[in-house]
Amino acid sequence: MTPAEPALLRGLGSVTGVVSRGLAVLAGVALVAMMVFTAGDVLLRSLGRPVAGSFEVIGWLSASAMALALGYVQLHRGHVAMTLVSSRLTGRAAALLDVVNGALALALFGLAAYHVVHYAGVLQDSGSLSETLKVIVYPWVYVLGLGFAGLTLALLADLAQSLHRLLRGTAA
Amino acid sequence: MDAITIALIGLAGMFALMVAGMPIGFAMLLAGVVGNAVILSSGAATHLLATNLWDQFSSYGLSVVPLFVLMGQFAYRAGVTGRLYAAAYTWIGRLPGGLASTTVLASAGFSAICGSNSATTATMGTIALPEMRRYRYDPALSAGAVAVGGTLGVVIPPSVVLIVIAVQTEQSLLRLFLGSLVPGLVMTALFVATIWLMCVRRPALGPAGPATSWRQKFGALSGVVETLLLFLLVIGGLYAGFFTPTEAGAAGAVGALLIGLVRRQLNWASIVLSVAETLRISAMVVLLIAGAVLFGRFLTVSRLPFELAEWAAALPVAPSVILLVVVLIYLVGGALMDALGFLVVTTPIFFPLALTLGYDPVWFTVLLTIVTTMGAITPPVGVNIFIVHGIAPEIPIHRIFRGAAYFSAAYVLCIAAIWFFPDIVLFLPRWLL
Repeated sequence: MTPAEPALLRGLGSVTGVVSRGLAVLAGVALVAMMVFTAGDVLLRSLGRPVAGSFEVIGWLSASAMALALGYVQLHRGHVAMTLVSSRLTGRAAALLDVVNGALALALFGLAAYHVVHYAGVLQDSGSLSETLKVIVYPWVYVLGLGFAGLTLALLADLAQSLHRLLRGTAA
Repeated sequence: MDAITIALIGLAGMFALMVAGMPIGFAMLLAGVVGNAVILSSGAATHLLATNLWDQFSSYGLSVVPLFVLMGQFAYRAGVTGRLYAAAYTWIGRLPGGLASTTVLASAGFSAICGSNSATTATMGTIALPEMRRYRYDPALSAGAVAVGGTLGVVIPPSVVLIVIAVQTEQSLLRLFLGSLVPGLVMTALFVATIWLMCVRRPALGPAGPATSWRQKFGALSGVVETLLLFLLVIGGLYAGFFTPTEAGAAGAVGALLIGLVRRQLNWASIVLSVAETLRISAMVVLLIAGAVLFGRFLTVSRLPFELAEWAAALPVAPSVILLVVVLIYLVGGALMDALGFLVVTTPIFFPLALTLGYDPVWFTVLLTIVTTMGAITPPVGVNIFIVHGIAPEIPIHRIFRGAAYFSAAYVLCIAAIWFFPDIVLFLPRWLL
């Protein structure tokens, strides 16, 4: 962020940072819970008291941890990319490429977030239950949708930055 | 327009997006959605998108990724690497190039509990480069030893790359782990032999360190015990059938956490850092896999991999010639792209081809993993080279590339050995499973 950036851009960046970090904290809790639950399950099984359907719980915790961290990963430019060509561009050309990539990614993950939430709604309406534990699954699918919404927000903030750079004619 | 043409356009579009700098996972997802929409329908494509994301993110098989990454993170911050390095140094530090060999051996040891190329390079570079500078080692050799040592992280189990390929191709993870163990040790031995030969011919490259007593040597072994215990817990538990891979990852993570807590090397801040770094790496990997699976479905619907496999099998050339072409593609691809990214993108295309040609899936996976991993030390991308340069900015990038190039012959020898003697990969899984 630079002082020359409009207040709207700064505000969007701040909101994105707070939301992404907040979701990442929840992701961290899910990750540690998954580790403890899985290790606990092994221990209980060795004592002859296995937890029924543990693999379902582990899958849901894993989904929550991974999905809720997506925005945080974007915030830290952690998604692996091939920068051989793009890193050689400067100025408006680099900003234009960022805008095109950013717009496509925003459309993709906006669509993904919408359809994951829609899928969760379908599971909710149909009363779909998990195969082993016979419990509702849709809340976890909503969490997945929340994770993709977080990623979409982070992409929106990046796109706004790229647009700003394109209009000002400066590189990242 | 027929489905094969659509698939080829989809492939070209996906590579164009990647070259334009779009993250690899994003490009695969986008190409998959658009491709499925064209071949099937937009409704089917968006439904596949949502269900694929849920299936992959909630997959029990993929939950192994964050747990193994977490184990490596805890082990790193618990100071395991420093103790491994000290132990290896007391044993071989007085040999010509002993510090560089120590770096490779400690990298191999750390690879046994950490499955990441970049983590192994960064960790070992931080410890080894200042030591080698202190003993006036040739900067190119020092940097090269760190960079090639890091590639062992992908080959020696547990390896994040092998975990991902196992999930993608529905292979047994244990078979892949066992299959890659001996090649990883062969690579380690060849790297050490390279250093020794170079330093015997030109002692100024890596002066021998001070001698150590047997008492010191055996005393230093305590630094290896914790790594050995973690490795035995994870791989032994898997082999004994006591753990699933996910459970092995969780047990390893808890074990590494306990080591750090008992040794008072992990505190709240370093635990939080470990968790944050694990989330950053794992979420990226899982999104990459979700993209690859959706893109793979698009290719499957188009029948491109099967047509390619049938076409290649009908060519009037030996399967080994086709395999050689595939290996060259991976060599170039690995040099241009991140190893994991390239393997994930190309597996849906070339894995069915290898099976059609009659190659063993475990052997094929291990061979291509090693070939692609070479890309981490070759121009123009060379991830490990840039990591080493980040740690030691005073060593110019071209000198680090040159240092890594010293080990090219070792790589080629290892790949040739696996090619001509497949049992290097296959005997352990056959013997033990």
